[in-house]
Amino acid sequence: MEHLAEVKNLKKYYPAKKKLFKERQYVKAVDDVSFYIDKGETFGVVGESGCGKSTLCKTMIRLTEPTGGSVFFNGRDIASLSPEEMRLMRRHIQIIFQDPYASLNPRMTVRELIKAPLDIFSDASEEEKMEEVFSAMELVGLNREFMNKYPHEFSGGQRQRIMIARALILRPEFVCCDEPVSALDVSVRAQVLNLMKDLQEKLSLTYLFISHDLSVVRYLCDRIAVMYLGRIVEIAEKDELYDNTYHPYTRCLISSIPIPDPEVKRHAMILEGDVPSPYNPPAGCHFHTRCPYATKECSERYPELREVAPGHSVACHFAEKIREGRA
Amino acid sequence: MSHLLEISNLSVSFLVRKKWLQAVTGVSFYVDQGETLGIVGESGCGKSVTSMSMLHLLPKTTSRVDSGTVIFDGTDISGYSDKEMSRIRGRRISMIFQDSMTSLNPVMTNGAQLVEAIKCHDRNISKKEAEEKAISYLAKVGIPSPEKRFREYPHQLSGGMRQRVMIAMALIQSPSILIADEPTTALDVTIQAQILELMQELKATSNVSIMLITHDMGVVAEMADRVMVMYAGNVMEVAPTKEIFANPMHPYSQGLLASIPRPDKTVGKLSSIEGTVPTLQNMPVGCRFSTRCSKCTSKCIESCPPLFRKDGHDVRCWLYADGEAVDGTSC
Repeated sequence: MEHLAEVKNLKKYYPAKKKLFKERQYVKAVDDVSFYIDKGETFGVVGESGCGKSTLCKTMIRLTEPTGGSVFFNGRDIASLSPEEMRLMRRHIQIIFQDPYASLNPRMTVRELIKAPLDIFSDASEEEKMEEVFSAMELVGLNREFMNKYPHEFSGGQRQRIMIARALILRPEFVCCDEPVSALDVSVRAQVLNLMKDLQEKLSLTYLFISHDLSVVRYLCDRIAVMYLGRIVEIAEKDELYDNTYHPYTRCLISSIPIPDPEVKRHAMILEGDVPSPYNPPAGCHFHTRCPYATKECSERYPELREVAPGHSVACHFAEKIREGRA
Repeated sequence: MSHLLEISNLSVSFLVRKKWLQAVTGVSFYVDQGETLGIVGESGCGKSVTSMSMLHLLPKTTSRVDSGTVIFDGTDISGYSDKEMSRIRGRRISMIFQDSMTSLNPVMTNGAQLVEAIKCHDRNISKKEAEEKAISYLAKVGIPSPEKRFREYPHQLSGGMRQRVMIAMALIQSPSILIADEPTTALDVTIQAQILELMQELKATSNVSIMLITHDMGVVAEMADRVMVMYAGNVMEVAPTKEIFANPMHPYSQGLLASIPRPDKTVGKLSSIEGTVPTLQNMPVGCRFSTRCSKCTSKCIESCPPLFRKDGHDVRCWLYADGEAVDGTSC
């Protein structure tokens, strides 16, 4: 079956400041990442700050130019499209940003904000456009009376609804969501998550969902990729990833989340130290400096992503051993 | 038994566009020796304002305490002058803030800031002794090579390490109460787990009481002995941690707990609380949660309930009016 989006060996390197007599160094924000997303599914990417998840999202939809690799969207490689072709492609690919305070122009009214994509892409008359705006507002649960208000008059949750209405007004197939609920309070977060779920069903959307919150990802996503220092270390179906974890980093990550139930005692695998600097990631497996199972081999050779069970891939030399408790 | 810290009927107002608006109304609670009280609520519910006003840390020009007493260790400290307060702050009651980057001084080394924290309460200590004490505390909070870190600046440390420096600074005078205002919110989960473990270890060794302010129910479940739920400047429910998670009584607590996705289970659909928190300008006359509550009655809209004590919970809700009213002051 054809995938809706397929990312192959995507790379994004940012040049670091060159030092005299030294070769220029690069921060490998996204390093050789491959995955696919099927139509109608929600693909989650989780990781700690600085692991490259937001860069992955931006590079994938060419908000920043990739250093290498390709991104196929409906079979076309969007990394090689001309600017004009890319512009036309963008109506099928939309993005929702994290910070609803910084991503809405404070000098535009709600109506102008939501209508802006139509002004760019649609030849419809002004009345038709307004009809579209109203139906988009209704879709996300915004009252029509709000259309002449400015973003500062809204709460965080409502602003995020404006962002969603703006992203969906062109009826895109694919929406990138870069931490859409991180800035919201718990009760409002649940509203927005449920809204996103409902809209996905109604409009048969495909989501790429970026988050650092493993509970939110478990709630919303179908398949999940875990990133660490620019690389994917594990990809699996949601329940498979949480209940049948292979990679030691994923395990640490999952066991580190405090569970909102005092009766459940978690056995946190507490990691020593911090995430190493992305300027100078450790040789071999990037995780070996913090991994409790690391051996000499881990510091020498990078483990390639390999399939350990159907649909479940892991980048670890000793994944099976660790899972069975033999390491 | 008298409590280590007891706050009764605290109300705080802020000056917003030439009008005084009450952000915290009639808040009463206590903290016992050696216990951890979790204060939870969404942003703007007054959890930080409560702790800041307790320590007289709010700006005097734009805020005022309308009413309330703060009794700490048997003495009423609510009327203390700045000078008297500065003998308590940092020494008997200290605080860790959320954002370690802006809370540490960027132009002073970590060591100098720790030494300052020692010297301002203990004039007679020699420089050498103070430095040794500072280094030993850096080691105590799990900072590797503390002598080196002592001479470095905050920006040279990672977020988790900076938070450890803040904890060292807060504990260096062996305070009786530590107020931790969202201590792990800015950190990644793996680092958060480290810091929570550290706080539990330190609590076990020093028997300090902790007031843990957070919006993360997971952190509360793990750390707190008792939980106080706040909403729109009111205390809504107070109960032991196990009780509140197993049997939340206030509709707001119920809604809050039902709207958190679980990391250890797949749930079909989250329930959510409709609507948004009322603004300070349009607070409902009756129960402050009445605008969003599914069990709201006409009584809820007309008058604000007091805290009722029932089955070990203190709940501000008319549904439990058969319980004993513990707190006559309403909102």
